[in-house]
Amino acid sequence: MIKKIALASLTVALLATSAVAAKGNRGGGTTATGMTQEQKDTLLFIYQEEKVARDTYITLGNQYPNQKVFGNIQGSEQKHMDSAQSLCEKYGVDISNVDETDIGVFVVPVLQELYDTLVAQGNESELAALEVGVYVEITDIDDLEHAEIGMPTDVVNVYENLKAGSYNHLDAFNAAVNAYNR
Amino acid sequence: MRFIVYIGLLLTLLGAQELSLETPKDAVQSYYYAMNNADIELLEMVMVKESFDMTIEVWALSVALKDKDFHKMLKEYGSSPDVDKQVREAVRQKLQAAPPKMISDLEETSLGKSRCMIRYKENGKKKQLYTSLHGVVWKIDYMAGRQVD
Repeated sequence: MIKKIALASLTVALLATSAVAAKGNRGGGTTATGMTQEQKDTLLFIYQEEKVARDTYITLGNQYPNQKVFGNIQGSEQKHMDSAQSLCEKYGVDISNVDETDIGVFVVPVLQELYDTLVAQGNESELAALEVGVYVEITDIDDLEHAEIGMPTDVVNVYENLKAGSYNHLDAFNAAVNAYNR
Repeated sequence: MRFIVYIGLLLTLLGAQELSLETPKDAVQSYYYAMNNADIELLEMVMVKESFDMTIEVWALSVALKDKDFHKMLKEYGSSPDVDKQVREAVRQKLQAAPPKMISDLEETSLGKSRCMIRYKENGKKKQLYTSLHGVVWKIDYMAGRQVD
């Protein structure tokens, strides 16, 4: 959900970049690396926010160790974080102020709230935890579909890979929910 | 400047004359004051719109995950005043029921002329918030975590 807002703004910013380019790039703030300041800001936030999904799955996976889907997917979520980090590095976005070492710990309060909410819901029951997974993946797919509009090719490629991964994760969570309900 | 006067007046009415948005630390203190008092209107004034909307949606999520009708409504947040009012009311009730959060040890780190990161402790835990300068007032801005200028 939070990413939806962030990515939507990134999309708007990128569309604005296209408009600026069409006008000869006067006063648009586009940087030498081809991204506006706003786009870079959003990229940094997305990097921080990617950790929420990964940590949620790690925590719920520990809570329900018999549900292998959490363990299987958390590795992919780490790759999502790595992808976001690579984009930050490529576009010169400094991530040195972001500490991602502690699982379930977020220095930005709103991200801590988001993580706490998802984990609290998942703690209610195994089925609720699986449904949290479904919720997170549906939100991710929706976000990415909005985000790739107007993106540079390299960013679109990254987002397409992330989206394909999210579809796989969604299938896995849906299968687990169905198996649980059988 | 009119904004500061408005904030000052509002805070005076709330009995909190010492709060303002003149410095980045003020913005963080006002953010927590608003949160601890479940004051959504004040919160809206101390944050940039995008960050405020994000905050409301995240705080409303716990309600949405338990109430499918509210979940549908939350998806429409921002589309109509009536929906916004109901979502904000749900958040207000959640904040009213939450224990207050105490902050301490605020330290400013400049991220440029118009940005500042505040590192602090919330109930003893390390936190950080980003602020950006709007005219003469500082506001909480989640997207301002990057060094500029």
